[in-house]
Amino acid sequence: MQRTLAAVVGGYGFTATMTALLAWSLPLPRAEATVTATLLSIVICTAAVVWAFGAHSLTRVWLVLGGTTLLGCAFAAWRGLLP
Amino acid sequence: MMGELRQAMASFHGWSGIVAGWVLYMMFVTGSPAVFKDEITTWMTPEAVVTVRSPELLDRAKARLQAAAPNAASWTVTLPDARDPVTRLSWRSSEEGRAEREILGAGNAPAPRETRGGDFFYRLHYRFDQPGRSAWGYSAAMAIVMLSIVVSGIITHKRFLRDFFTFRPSVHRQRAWLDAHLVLGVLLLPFHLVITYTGLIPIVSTVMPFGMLANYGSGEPIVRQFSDPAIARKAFAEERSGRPYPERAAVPLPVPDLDPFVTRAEERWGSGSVSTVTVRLPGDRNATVELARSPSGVVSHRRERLVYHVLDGSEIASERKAQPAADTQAFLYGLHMARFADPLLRWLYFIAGLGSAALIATGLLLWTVKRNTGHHAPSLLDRFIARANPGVIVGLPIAMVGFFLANRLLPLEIAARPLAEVRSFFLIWIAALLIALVIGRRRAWFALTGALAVAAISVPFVNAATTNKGAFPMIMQGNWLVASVDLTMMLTGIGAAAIAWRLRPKSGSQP
Repeated sequence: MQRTLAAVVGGYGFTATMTALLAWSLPLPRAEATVTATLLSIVICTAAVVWAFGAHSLTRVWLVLGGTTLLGCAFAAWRGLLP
Repeated sequence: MMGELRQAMASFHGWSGIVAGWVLYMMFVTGSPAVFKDEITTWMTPEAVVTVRSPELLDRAKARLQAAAPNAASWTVTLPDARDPVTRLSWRSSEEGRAEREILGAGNAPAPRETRGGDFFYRLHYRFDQPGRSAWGYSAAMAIVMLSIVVSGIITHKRFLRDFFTFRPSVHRQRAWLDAHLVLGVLLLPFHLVITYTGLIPIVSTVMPFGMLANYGSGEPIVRQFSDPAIARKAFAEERSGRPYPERAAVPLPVPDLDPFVTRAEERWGSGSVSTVTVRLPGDRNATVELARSPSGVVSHRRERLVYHVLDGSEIASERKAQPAADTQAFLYGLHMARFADPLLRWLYFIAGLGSAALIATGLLLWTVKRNTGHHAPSLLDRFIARANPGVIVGLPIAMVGFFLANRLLPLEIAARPLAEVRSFFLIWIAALLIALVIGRRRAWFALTGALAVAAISVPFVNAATTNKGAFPMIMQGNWLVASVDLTMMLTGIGAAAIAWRLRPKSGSQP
């Protein structure tokens, strides 16, 4: 149950952060980078979910997935994108 | 280490399968006939007059659209072809809005019966028939679960190839279901993965818009942009198409004859190659006519298009540059929608889709067989799943057959007939589920497969009795398009009857 929460919340946040990061940083024209990142997001999300259920400890899952999500949120806050 | 991982994956595979299995089963069973959605709609509108392309046809289409939606943002005429021999009209009051659709009648002939047709299965398949994009997040989550289940299944079964050549139907019930599950899983593995991955393509930028927002974001709070990314989406779409939509000039200009535009496009692409004609801002001075090339034979979802100004007939060139990633995306999109495929390939999609559904169904059965024949007493949840299984797994195809029967049997004059057809579908499914819960597992499997057999076999007879488009006259006329629905129903019914016969209650045995 706890793992499910970690996989859903952490998995989505992790994927969102990674997708935004890739879209922003890939050395491609803007539209192309956006599409590439979005296509990859499916793979990233699946991998995150499977890993969340396969990982040794729940703490590690929260550290990696939750930590990435928090970093994404912190970045959004820094850019003034959070209300 | 490896053993521990495998155990974790096996547990995840089982539990997520139980949680998502019924919904995923529904998505595959309704998605498979959706590759024939136009053919199903044609079957469901037996009065629709077969139309042939002619200049006069476009005049009638224009007149009808003018009457129905003079102030629309766009009109689209889908021209008849071999797959879909009627002329379809649709219009949108705003570019982002929902399209209204109808079939163009033939002059004085009565309008064909209204139906959702194959579109109902299509929309049920990926958005649970909900309006707008409300259900997309849910169906995307289901697709991610499906992908994760497949991956965890692969990790669980290390003896992949060996299991593939093993099928022991007579050894042990549980072992037989497991073998069936493994054969379906391994044999169709590429299909399961590709169809699920590509199924996410059309909806992924809505449920995971952060790539788009990172590059095209409007600077508003992220939550607001997430729920309504209109600004980013428009900027993104215009940059990709290299051809912005026209802006309204608010100066009226009558819509010209459309046929010359089709002729111009077919001079370039070859005769009969235009599939749709779209007029943007009809009646406005800045209106454009957009012609899309027929999708047959091209996998990519991106249609070749020609766009002309209505005002002076000049062509609007696209400034689209090479976009390998976008082309890949369009290819994957097209691969899922199967609009490019010829009939044989469509049948393969259909059969493979049902194979995925069978994979899920055998997984669900495996769970209950394992849990209900063990040494310890099955839990309440396991008993519920075992009892509901036949109601979901067999009840759904019964409801789908019921949808076809409702199309023929409901009185033609009732109001909101399309809605009545959809209600019949859901009522039948709910009834099947309740019956299954009440009468118990074994009797339910038998009774419901029997009901499916009777219902499916009756479709060709009901069709022949209520319309002049029965299977025999259609085959005599060489119209396999309509007849194949009847034949598929007949085959489904015979298959279900054979299963029901095997499941019949034996005298003396406990039900």
